[in-house]
Amino acid sequence: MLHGGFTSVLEVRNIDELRAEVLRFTKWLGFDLMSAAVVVDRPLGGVESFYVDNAPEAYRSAFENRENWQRDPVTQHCKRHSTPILWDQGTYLKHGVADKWEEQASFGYRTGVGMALHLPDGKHFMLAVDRDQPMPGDPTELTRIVADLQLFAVHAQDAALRLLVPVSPLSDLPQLTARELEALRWTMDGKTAWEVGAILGISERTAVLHVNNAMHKLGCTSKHQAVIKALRLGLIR
Amino acid sequence: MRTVADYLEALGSVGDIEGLRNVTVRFARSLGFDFASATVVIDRADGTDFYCVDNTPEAYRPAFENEARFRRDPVSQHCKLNSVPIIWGQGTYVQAGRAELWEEQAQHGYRAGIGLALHLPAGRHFMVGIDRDRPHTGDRELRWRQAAELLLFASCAEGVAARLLASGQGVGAPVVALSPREREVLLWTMEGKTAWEIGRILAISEQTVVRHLAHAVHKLDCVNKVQAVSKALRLGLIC
Repeated sequence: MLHGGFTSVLEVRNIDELRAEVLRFTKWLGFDLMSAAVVVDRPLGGVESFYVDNAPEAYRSAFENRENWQRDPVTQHCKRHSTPILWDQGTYLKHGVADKWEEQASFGYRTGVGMALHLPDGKHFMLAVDRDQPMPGDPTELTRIVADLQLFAVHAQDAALRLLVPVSPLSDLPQLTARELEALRWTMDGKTAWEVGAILGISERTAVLHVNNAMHKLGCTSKHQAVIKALRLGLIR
Repeated sequence: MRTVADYLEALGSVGDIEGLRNVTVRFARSLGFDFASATVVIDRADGTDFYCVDNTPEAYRPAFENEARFRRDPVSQHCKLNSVPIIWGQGTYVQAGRAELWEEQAQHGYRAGIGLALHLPAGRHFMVGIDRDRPHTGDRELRWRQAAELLLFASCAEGVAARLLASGQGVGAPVVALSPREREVLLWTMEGKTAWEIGRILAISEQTVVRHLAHAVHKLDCVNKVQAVSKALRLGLIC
């Protein structure tokens, strides 16, 4: 059994501890290399990523550029699916990028398992473990590796989101009352102030008041802008 | 003996709800659990929708589907708020001060189990539970192995379940095809820009922006641009 179980990663207090914990799990699973990344979608396209890994320096500089990742079939699988992928040379051959495999293999990336958790609010957690040796031939053993990686990932994601992504402190978030949030939610669904009033059993004037207060707190000039800002801040969904 | 890999393969060829129920129940039994449920949960402005396959005994169903009970149940609440599995038994309910709930469900064969939820983009969640009439194995490693396999099963079943259970609910439904321009104007609207401002940004007339927006609103079956933005977000058409 993994020492400390799967739960000790929940307790990490800083990025170094997170890296150590992911590495400890990776070794226990029988792999040498790892990367754990939080990817955040940006509204107008593009992403920001924050990660810990133990990639060799030389590998990092060789694979820095973006095109490389767009060509990588494992990364592409993880971007689109929630299921893990077990990969080896064959995966790269099948996608016509055998040369990429040759290049990374020289750094110790010959086989591995990759996976992504696609989370609410445009966030993703990607976890990959890699090694220099072939994968075990026994299907039961393979399944065990994939299942353990996933179980570790759901434990690590909270710590990674908490530690890796810089956030504005919670106290900076506007504090909306329950009524204001309710009024915004119905506005989001395309209801007019009159309809919101009817739904909540309050007068139209009171509904307008709630929405105006919410607008003011969010620093917006229209109720529509307020709805969208509240959505982006995760105050409503 | 069948392994979890066999069930993952079986999921691939599931064609209807009955098939999904079948694989899920057989998978639970292979882990030594009698009962199984798999639920697609969708957040809505006016509440939450649930779509479930299970083999819950008829006598227990009223309690199982009772929303007030769901809110008091420590296992459901764990799943609602966490992404990590919960391996529960009588102790879980006693600790939460809900011993009476456990007593009630134990009569129906729900004495111990494993529950988990995947929290996904666009207000979607997938909850899976397996339960049984006897306590958990004393082997800690085996318990975690069961949890790990349940999680793997859940991550593979989620797509199938969303497609079968909640199609037409904005999940797995035919994707609304927005043109690149419609998408662009929705994105800028999301940023709080007015139609006039978007026109300036994209170097097109305000009228053209309004037309793109109107098309998007129509395609998304909405009444105004704000509802269209939030629906597009929920459907994952913009992010």
